[in-house]
Amino acid sequence: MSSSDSKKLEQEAVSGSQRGDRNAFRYIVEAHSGLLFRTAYLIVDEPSFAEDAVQETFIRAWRNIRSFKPGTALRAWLLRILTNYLTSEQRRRQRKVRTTNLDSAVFVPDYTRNPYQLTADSESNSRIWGAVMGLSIEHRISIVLRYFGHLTIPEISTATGWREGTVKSRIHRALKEMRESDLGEQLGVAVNSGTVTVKGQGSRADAQ
Amino acid sequence: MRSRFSNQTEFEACLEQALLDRSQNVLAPRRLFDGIENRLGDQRGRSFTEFVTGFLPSTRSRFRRVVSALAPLAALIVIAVLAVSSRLLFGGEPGVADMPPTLDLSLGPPELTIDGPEDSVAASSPRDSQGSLFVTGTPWTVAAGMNQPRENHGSAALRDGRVLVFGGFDAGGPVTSTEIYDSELDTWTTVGEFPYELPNYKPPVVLNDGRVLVVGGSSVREHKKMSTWYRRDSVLFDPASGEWELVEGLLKFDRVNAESVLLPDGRVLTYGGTLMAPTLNSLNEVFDPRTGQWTRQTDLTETDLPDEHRAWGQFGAPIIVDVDDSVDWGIHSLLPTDRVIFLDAKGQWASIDTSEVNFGSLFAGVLSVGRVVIGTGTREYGEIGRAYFYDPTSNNPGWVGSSGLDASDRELRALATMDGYVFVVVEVLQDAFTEPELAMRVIANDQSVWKLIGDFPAPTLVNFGVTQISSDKILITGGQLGSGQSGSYSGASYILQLPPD
Repeated sequence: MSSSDSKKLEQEAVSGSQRGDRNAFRYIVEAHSGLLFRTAYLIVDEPSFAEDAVQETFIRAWRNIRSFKPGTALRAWLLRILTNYLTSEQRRRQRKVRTTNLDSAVFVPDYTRNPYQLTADSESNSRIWGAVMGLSIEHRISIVLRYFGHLTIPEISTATGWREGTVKSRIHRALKEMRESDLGEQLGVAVNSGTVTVKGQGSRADAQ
Repeated sequence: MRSRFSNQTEFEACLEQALLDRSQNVLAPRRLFDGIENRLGDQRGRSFTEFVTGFLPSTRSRFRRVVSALAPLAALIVIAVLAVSSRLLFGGEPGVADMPPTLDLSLGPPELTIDGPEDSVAASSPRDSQGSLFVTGTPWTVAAGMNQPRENHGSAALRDGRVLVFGGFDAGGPVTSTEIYDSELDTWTTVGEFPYELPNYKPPVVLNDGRVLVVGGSSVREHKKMSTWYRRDSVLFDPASGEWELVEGLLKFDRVNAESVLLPDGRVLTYGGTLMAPTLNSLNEVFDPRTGQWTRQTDLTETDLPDEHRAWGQFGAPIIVDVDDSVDWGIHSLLPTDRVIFLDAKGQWASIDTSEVNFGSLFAGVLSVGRVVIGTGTREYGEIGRAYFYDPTSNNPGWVGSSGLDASDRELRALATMDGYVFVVVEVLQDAFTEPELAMRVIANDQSVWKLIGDFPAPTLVNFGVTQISSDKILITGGQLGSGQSGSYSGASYILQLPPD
């Protein structure tokens, strides 16, 4: 199927959904659930949380599908619902943790009990992954959308509601934070650079 | 600090590969849509329950009481039917063994419970660190969409229960169309157009005879000619005919953004705003619907009502918060010299001491129970979201503060003081230090704790309309999704069902 065909199908699915057609909405779910789930999983590192988030995203999308403007980017719209949910839910969880047990507020991913995981990460991937999970959720969202979703800065801005300048600075800070972590030494990369480039933007920011 | 990487591109490539590998290490959930379908089914059932209770005058709990009260009668009818059936089927008098079981009415009607979001969340609602009650669940219903997408529009609850929406903007500029929403039919009907493009006006006033008055404003077409930028017109909407009519008499003074409140005698007091002739002594004026004329108002002198202040006149009693705006309009500080002027039920103006309230004021209103409420909306100039109540009928009147909003809340995007509720939509600013979040909080009239009613249905919506359509339902209309030129204009409508106290 060509991209124009799939785009036409998606537009028809949106129109159908706006008329209340569940089957049309099913097409949207099946077309986007994979990307949304993997994006959510990379942000929260918790498959069940990610699945809940994707479900919630589509529930909200269904409720608000009539407010979606046909012709605009459905993927960005869905990602925006997802990232909004993840951010607020993450904060809510942290707040709940703070009120009950401060010790459990420390995030410790438990890979051994992950029924969704098929294979173990390589050592280098594990370290990179650990560095990603050490970022704040805003930085994680920025990194995942940029380097997994391959969204441009304007697209990330649309998908998150953040200003483009905010997106750039968050990616910049996230990369800087990861670069300055122990990750570099663990990967055996030499140390002699002082710049960070956000790919696709043509702008360079000093890393101090 | 020096970087540990010699090649940023190499690092980014490693990062991309790691994320890709990681994403392929998990199985995407199967049958995701089935789960969504189930939840949508739940929502549909919930909406049906709300549909049923919507016929009744008030809340679900009232519905439960009505059904419970009728239950014994229904039980007796069933018994009678069984007895008659038994006699018809088996003939003669039934034996003891044939008698239906006795229903012990001394224990009261059988307990009837109705599943629903409010019932299900009440027992499990957690409390946050502020002590506020977080009501989970989704009390939103998507209503029919407006015929015309718009933002920054006017809206008013008509006395017959319908909702009037007019004016505003869409992508093409100012909108003059007018629509009426009927919540019983869930339909929007387009009626007569607003007589001029009006991008800058204050909330309309619903008169006692049911008509709606829009006062002044400014006009886009005349914007370039500053001398005629403002409108001295006022416009009346008649719900019976569905038409707007210009009031013959013009406002007495040249002003923009004047506030208007309904006085107890049915007239409308208009005052304040940006005045073009600030040297005049008395700048307030009154509209009399019986004569259709504006007259200079002299009951309140200029001393009583300075040029800059805010007013909210709802539910029969206007209130004026007199704020010193000499520093910065929009961010107020209630100084010891500032006052809240309150028009009580007897039509007497009373000034309330605000020395106990020492932070910025954003909203104010009069609740249906007669209490005055004011509050704050910006963190930079004080604690956000603390509402202060004042009961003028109390033996020992004084301000009582509510709980503050949660620390993550930054800005109030909309607020309405309505029949017993203070309703806010809380926006978390979308900048480097915050995250996008939109939620709603409500203070009920008999408690001073904010309730989180649930996530807003359209997280990026701005400039929408808020109208109360019944004692426990709020209608959200239109708005802009996103911001700036990339934002799209919404015609969507949502109904918020407030939970029972």
